[in-house]
Amino acid sequence: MKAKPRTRAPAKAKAKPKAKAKSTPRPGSLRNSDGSPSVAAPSLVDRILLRFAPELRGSDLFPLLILFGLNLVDEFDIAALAILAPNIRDAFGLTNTELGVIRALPAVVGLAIPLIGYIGDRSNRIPLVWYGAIVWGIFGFATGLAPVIWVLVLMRIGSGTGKLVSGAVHPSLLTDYYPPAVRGRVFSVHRSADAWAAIVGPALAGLIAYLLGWRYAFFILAVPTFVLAYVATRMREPVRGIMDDRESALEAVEEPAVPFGRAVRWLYSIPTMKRIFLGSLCTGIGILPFALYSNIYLDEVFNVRELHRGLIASAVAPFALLSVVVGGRVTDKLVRTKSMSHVTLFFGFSIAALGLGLALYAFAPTLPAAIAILCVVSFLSVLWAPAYLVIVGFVSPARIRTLGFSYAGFFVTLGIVATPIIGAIADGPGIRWALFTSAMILAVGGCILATAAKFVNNDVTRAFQVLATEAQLRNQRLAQGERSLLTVEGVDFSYDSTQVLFGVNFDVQQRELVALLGTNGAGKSTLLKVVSGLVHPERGVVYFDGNDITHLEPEECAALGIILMPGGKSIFPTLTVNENLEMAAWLYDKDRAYVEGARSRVFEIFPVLQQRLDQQAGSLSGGEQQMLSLAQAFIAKPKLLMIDELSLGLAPVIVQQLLRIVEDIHDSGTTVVLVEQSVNVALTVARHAYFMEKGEVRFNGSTEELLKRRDILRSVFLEGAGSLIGTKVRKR
Amino acid sequence: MLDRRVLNGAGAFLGGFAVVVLFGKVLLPVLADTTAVPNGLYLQGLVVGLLYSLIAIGLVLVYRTNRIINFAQGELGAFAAVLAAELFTVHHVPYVFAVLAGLGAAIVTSLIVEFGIIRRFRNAPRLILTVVTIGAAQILGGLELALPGWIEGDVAASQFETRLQSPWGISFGFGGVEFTADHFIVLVVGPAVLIALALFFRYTRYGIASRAAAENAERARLLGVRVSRVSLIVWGLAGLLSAITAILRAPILGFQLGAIAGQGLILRALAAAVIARMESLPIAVVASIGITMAEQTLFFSFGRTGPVDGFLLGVIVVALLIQRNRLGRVDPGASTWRAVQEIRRTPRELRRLPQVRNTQAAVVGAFGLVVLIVPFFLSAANTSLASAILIYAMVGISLVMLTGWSGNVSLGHWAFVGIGAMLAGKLVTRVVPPASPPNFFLVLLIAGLAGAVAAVLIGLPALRIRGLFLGVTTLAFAVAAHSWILQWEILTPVGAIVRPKVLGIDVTSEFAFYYVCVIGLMLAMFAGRNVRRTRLGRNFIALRDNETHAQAFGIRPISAKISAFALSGFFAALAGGLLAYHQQSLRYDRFTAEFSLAIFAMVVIGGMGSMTGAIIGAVYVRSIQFYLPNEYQFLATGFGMLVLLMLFPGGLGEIVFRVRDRLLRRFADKRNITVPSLVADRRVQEVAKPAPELVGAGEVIVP
Repeated sequence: MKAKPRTRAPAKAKAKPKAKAKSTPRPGSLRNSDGSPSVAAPSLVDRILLRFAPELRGSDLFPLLILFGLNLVDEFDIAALAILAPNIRDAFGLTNTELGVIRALPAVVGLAIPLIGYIGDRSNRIPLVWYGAIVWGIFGFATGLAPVIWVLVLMRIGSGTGKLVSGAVHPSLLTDYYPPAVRGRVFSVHRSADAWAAIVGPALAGLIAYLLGWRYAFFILAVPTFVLAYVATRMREPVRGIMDDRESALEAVEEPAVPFGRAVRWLYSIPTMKRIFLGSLCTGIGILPFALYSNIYLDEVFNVRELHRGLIASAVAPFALLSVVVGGRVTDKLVRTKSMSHVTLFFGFSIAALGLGLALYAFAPTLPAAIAILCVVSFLSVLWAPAYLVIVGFVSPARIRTLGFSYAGFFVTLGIVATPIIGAIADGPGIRWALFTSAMILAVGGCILATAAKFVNNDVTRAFQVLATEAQLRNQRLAQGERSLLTVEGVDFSYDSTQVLFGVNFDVQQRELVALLGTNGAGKSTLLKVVSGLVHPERGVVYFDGNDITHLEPEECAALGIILMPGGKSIFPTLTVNENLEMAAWLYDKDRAYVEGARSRVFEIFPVLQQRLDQQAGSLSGGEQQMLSLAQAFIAKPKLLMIDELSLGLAPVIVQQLLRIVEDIHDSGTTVVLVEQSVNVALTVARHAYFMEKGEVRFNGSTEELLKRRDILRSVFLEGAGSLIGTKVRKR
Repeated sequence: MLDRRVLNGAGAFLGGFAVVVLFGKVLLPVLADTTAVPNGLYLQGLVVGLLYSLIAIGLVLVYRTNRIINFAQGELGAFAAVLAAELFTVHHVPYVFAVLAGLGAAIVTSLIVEFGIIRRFRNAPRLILTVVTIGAAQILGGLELALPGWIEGDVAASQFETRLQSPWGISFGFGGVEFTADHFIVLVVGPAVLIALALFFRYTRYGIASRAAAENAERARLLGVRVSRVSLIVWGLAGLLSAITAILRAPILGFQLGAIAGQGLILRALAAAVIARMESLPIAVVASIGITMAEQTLFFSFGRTGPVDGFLLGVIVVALLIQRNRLGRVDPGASTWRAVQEIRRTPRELRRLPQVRNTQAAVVGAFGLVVLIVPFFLSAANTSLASAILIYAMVGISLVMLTGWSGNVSLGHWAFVGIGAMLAGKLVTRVVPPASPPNFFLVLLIAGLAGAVAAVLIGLPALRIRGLFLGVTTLAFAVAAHSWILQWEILTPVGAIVRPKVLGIDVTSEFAFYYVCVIGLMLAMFAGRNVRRTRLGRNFIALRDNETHAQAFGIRPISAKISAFALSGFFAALAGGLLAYHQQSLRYDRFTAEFSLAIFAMVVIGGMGSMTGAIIGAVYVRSIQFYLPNEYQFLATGFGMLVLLMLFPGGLGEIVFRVRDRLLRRFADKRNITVPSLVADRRVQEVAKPAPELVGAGEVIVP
């Protein structure tokens, strides 16, 4: 099992690019079907790009170029703001602190990034790209126009949209455009925009500002944004997951989008993503204040003035470029020759190394030493970026991938809340300690990220499987005339550290009455909990009535028509009987007529309940409490009623009485799953039985078959079953 | 049935009222040697009692929903009151609008707290969740302090007293007390709110659902009830009630500001809530009115709040003891109250491995070395701080013994420290001038014993009360200790507490005293280690986990619990004695109830399960307060604590022990030793399972 993902990724990596290189138009292709590029990309840029990443030869570079360009102009805007900061400060009469706040403002929008992820997962992503570009182009343009300070503030906040789109939608698109083997370099090209902007941006913006004035810099820089936005409209939306598993992706494309809450819970249930979220938070805390405080550091400790700080920044920027290029290459090489867990280790440890580098930088004795360390730090600064994007692209399932990217970005941005604390340390113990603290947090974050290496291979396999399973189930559903009401496929579940369900498959047809049998601790109740949403499986899917309900919450399952009658305490003891019944009618609040009808039917079946309407339910006898519980289930009118341990602690006479009610409910069209330890109770009403042992399904078939299997019954069951063997089983 | 309950309630109320009146008119004048209590005080008591009853109801509501005591209950509203007052006085917003803004802010704040904080801990143990509310209270308290600065800029905010008065100038005298429109508002708004609440819970869908969810949230969710929305509504209501109290109280009783604004305040409501078994809203109302009336008469007679807090302690203890049997059904018991992580010793199989022993020795040695050489690198002021950390670590260890191992929640531990410290100070300063200061060890021993006695006395109710409610008792003790007991003449040191010679060595310098503290901490660790590894410690844990079962094996709960309290009280007070020498001058106001909660939070952050955790907690919490400037402390402690507990419910200690277990596993794997206790918490490896195939009808997949 362990070796599987390790071999899998390289196999994919080797197979895919060759196949792709020769294949004529692929569904994810960006060219028109005749093979001609939809837009002629400038050959010079093409050539430069190919020099960076020769393996990209044969892939269509158009989308990469456009997205790179969009990223570049956005970064230009930020670089321009940095270099023009003094002019803006003087134009509006701001203090340095206020200026710092304004520069940090776009990050505020970053907190809205899950929204973009949400939209990106359910609609065409291409319009998002160019709408986004137009929006930030307008805001960038308007920055130059800003007449008063609050307009400037608004414009800066608005310009954060650029990062939103380039942080979530771009990687999601690139993952679907390019095969796994080259993604590292694809992302390194895309991310190198930051470095290019840092190298060229200041000079360009400075030149324009010098010739025409600072406002013109923003006007002129907005022009390429609009041009690129226009060109971007020519891109074509790739099929989600097409690079993971072509056939499945094409089939799954018809499936409805995953609801937001479910998608988030799903992401949280992926161990690698969880570590990435946590590590990203630490990384954000460590890295976001750095940009701000590094300048203060140079200023306070080494008395480096603005102009020289700018020079230093430009001098080290090429190292960042080198960094992102090397990062992409290493990532690809590891993907090709090693496994994803190596990529993750590289990712985590390069961030940890960055943290250590920063810690050294914080205590640099002299300015030359500081600059030398800064070069190294710059080289480490974005080494991790391509690996990070590749990992997120691999472990988040295709249909919620944009959200995956956006959530990881969200957690980085969240780190900004710590900036004031770092600032407080700078004001207290000193700027060196402030930098050192953030560096240490960064190092810790890196180590946390590296620990994801444990899970990542497994998670990649799972992400691939999800698509396949979805397609497969879809096909089954389409093929079958009689639809399964409930399909549980390959469900694993653990309570903390003890695994209780092992790849459980469980299928219930419409209008069936199924007995789920098993010994103590076989996992029956846990399976019911998984179906009803009380707990969420680590692996596997649950389909109900044609919907994927794997990560739904219990109240959502109930609204779909799944009612679980838990064993033991299933009523509200201090509420009156009447109030208990009211609770059961929660879902039918609008339909009082139905509720009244159902109540009177319940009182026909259980007259005793009517007599005790105003009595506290806790004062009823055990049998009456079960009656009340069944009455609740009846009123809730489920499509699927799951009863856990109906007979627990009740006299046989009462059990018989209750069983008749269960049969009534079943006869009225409700599908019933009856969980029992006691075989003779279950087998008197059920025709179809599942038998579970030690978290696995051991038997699935008709009850007659089960009774013939003396080996099963005798080995695990109670004597009660023995007496049943040979008795008549209910037939219909 | 219902009639009888109403009659009983009315009877109890009238009887209680008669007792209070009798008490004030006849008994108190004799006892306290004052005139008879004027009639107006009873009306005043009714007004204030109505206000407190709203907080009490908020406490009950949250308890019913989350099974915790919400220590942020006061802060939810206090924050809003500050906002309203600022709007009213600084920005001259009309009274009604200012109040509405305040109420709105309170609702929003509580919704944010519920959604952003409480919900994140939905599956955490109740103990952790309770500490989380303490953290939320810290954050809100910090915001409360910062808010006037934000709104006013540089204008100093000092006179809060009468700033939020209603604009209607009614006033009349009754029974010797002056009443104004503000009192009237309470008399109208209070009952109106109570009636509205009663109707809401009895007749509306969400009202019934909130009771159902309180009973069995899982079942309610299975029936389709949106329990998270119900919880949101309950918290919104609790915040609203708290805000009404805080805003209406301002003109009558004045403002109380600051983090965990006076647990004394929450205590009055808590006493009423406890009498109501954390369940019944009508009883909570009646009880808080009764308590407040009694309090008013007491205050009139004694002129101090001290005896009032003592009275409240008595009320809480008596109420809990009387209702023990009924509480058993409500309180989920101590077991859900303990910290999650049980820290194991190194497994027997590995204990003797040279590799394991060397590593252990190296780690312990390295830490020991750091502890020993630290003062060489620190200034005198910082050495003093380091000594303080060691003393806090001692307190932490004593709390681990009591709450972590023995399962008795103590929210008033700082009071035991206070008793030890004040007594030690008194003993030292008794001789004026200190010609020959009393023997150092003797002083510490007496202080420790005094602490042990106090702890046993407070622990006596623990024989019958468990879990959260014991915490309430100890909190009441902490409040009473601060405002009353520690102000007794016998516990008040006069002048400087001079550090003596210890075994002929002069320890007056901070440098030398640091090592005294190191020895004190080692002593506590040594004692703790021996307790934990012997029969006594096992008894503690057995009783904590399952009292009846332990009794069946012949363990006597009485002796075990009393020894837990005595031991814990002894070491807490011993640390107090050291603190007295460390501080060299002391006043009772150092030992507030808020700090008891902070100490409790400190140990939870470190990890309740182990002494290591307690020490780490002390180092983290205490050192961060000196590392960061004042205004950011609440962020680091409050906010940092929330993040930390979200990730590591077992506290910082959990991280240490996880690392240790991982190392041990590696050692075990290397030597091919199977260690069941180490493997048990690892996920079951997928070993050669048959490939998951679809199960055909009648096909059996037993290999």
